[in-house]
Amino acid sequence: MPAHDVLRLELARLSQAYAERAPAVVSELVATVRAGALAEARVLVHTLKGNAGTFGLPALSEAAELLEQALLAPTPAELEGACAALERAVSAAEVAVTLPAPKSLPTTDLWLHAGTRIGNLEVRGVLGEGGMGVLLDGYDHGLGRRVALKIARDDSLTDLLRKEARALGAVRHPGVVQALALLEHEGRPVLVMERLFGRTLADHLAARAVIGARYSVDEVVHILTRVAEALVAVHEAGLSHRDLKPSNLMLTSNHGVVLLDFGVAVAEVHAHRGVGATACYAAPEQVAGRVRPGEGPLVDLYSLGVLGYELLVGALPTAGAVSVAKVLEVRADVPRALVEILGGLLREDPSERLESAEALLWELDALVRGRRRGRDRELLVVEDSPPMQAILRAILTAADPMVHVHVAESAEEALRVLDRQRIDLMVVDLGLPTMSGLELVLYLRGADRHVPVVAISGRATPGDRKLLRAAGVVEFVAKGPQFPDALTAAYQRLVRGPTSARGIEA
Amino acid sequence: MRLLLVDDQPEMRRLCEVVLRAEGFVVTSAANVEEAEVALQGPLPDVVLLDLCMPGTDGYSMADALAADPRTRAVPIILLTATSSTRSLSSVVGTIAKPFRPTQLAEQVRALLATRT
Repeated sequence: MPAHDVLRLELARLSQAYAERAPAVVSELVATVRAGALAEARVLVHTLKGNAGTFGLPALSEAAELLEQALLAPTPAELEGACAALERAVSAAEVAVTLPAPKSLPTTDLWLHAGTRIGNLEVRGVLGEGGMGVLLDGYDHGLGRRVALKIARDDSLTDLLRKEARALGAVRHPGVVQALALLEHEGRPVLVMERLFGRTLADHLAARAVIGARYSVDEVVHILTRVAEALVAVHEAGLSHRDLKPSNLMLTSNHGVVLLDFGVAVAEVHAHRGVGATACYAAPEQVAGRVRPGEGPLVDLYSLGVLGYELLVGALPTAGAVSVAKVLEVRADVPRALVEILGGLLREDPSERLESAEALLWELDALVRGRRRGRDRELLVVEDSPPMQAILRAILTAADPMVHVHVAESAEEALRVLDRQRIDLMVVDLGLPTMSGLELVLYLRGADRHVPVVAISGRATPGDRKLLRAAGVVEFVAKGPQFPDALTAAYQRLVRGPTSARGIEA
Repeated sequence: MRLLLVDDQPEMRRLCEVVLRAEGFVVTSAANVEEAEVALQGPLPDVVLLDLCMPGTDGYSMADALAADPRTRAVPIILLTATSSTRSLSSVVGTIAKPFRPTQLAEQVRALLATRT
């Protein structure tokens, strides 16, 4: 391997290693800020700013700079705002490492080599290879910019490359890789495209799998939205991509997602043609070779549904009719509305599927707006048993899919959560270790902290109930067979009713 | 050219090693001032690339110590720093601001050393 490829490979590895460690670095920094150790925080934030930028995470570096400035003349609100921005940036940073990721080098002999000139274009090396083509690194000396050059793997595939070029030429959208020119060199086509920097979603999925990290709901909605926007442009151009999958999506800087490889894209007038898509992501009618003219976009929507499922669950759906209920079994934090959208994409019968990428965008937009509204309601569950925490989270999320649930394992932890953020409603188990739930409720009343509470217990005495009422807690749910329904009803009464009459406030 | 690199962040150390070695530097690395002091007991480097913000003894203290020691006084120091302001120290020939472009690090080091002569 040439020395510069070795260097690029090593830099990409280091960048990835740093991106994976960054959440822990940010967590330590935020904890230091919140603990009030501002001198120590200044040292940490300087280091984070410099390192994140050097490792190709500019958004994280900028967020660190914001916090650095907030630390110069700190006010609690500014510090908290900067910390929140930093946490968002580190979450997004994992989605956008800007250093180029290494690609496997082709095993076939190439007819274009590093150093070859085609007019103003210079071939500089190999970026990677796919099923039909090889992607080369190039430089346009005329315009002074880097480009990517695609050539067919062999002469039998040159017509497909020409078709891909025409397909790309028909679409102009930031979410679709841009074709710059189709040249002929030594009688063979060379597709000149914009040079993208980032890594494919397939690489990113693999990196997440290694560290056991899941995609957050926000990340999944972001990726689905960006791809849907690109598909709107593709479909409006009268095309369908037909091979939508993680390796054909590039995550670029500034949270961009770019659709690549139109090698099997089909003009809708030829939509009945069977083409070689990737089986795991292919729609049933595509596998059966029965895509009706005009229904190519529905094939792309099905593939996008598979992609969304994979991002949330961490695995591809099993073959056959896909059950999206599996998503909720694996992820209690996923809103039902998102699962319903995936269900709409994954209908086996294309005529029952969401009708267009534009319709999908409307659905995703409604989901995001709903989540923003839902985030106005922050719930704190105070429960020491992990299985019970999961049950409570599932019941409350089902009662109000847009709600944001925090969990504290003890009364002491609950007090810390209440100190650092607004909580609109608490569900408190009375049988907590050390400081009991009842003591927590009484403490909050004594401290004049007004948070509506649903108390839960498996063995509360009449005396406990009396004390709860005295503390202004009117919603009590006994653990037992009716618990889910009773908790849902109590939650809804508290949310809908005048909280001042039902909360801790006397 | 022999270069002693002092930085507490492992990925940053590795990154500097990789890009500087690719440009022909002979790099010795230290994760903190104590490790750097051990390294300096051997043959002296031609330049020290020193991270300013490190836990424990920071880069300034080490630069002061190098300047105070007759044996190391002449070794030029380049500071790696994300802060906008740095103290003026006689043995410091310049600073490289973080974030920096990895592939330009060697060039920046050479340029700063060239200004010294």
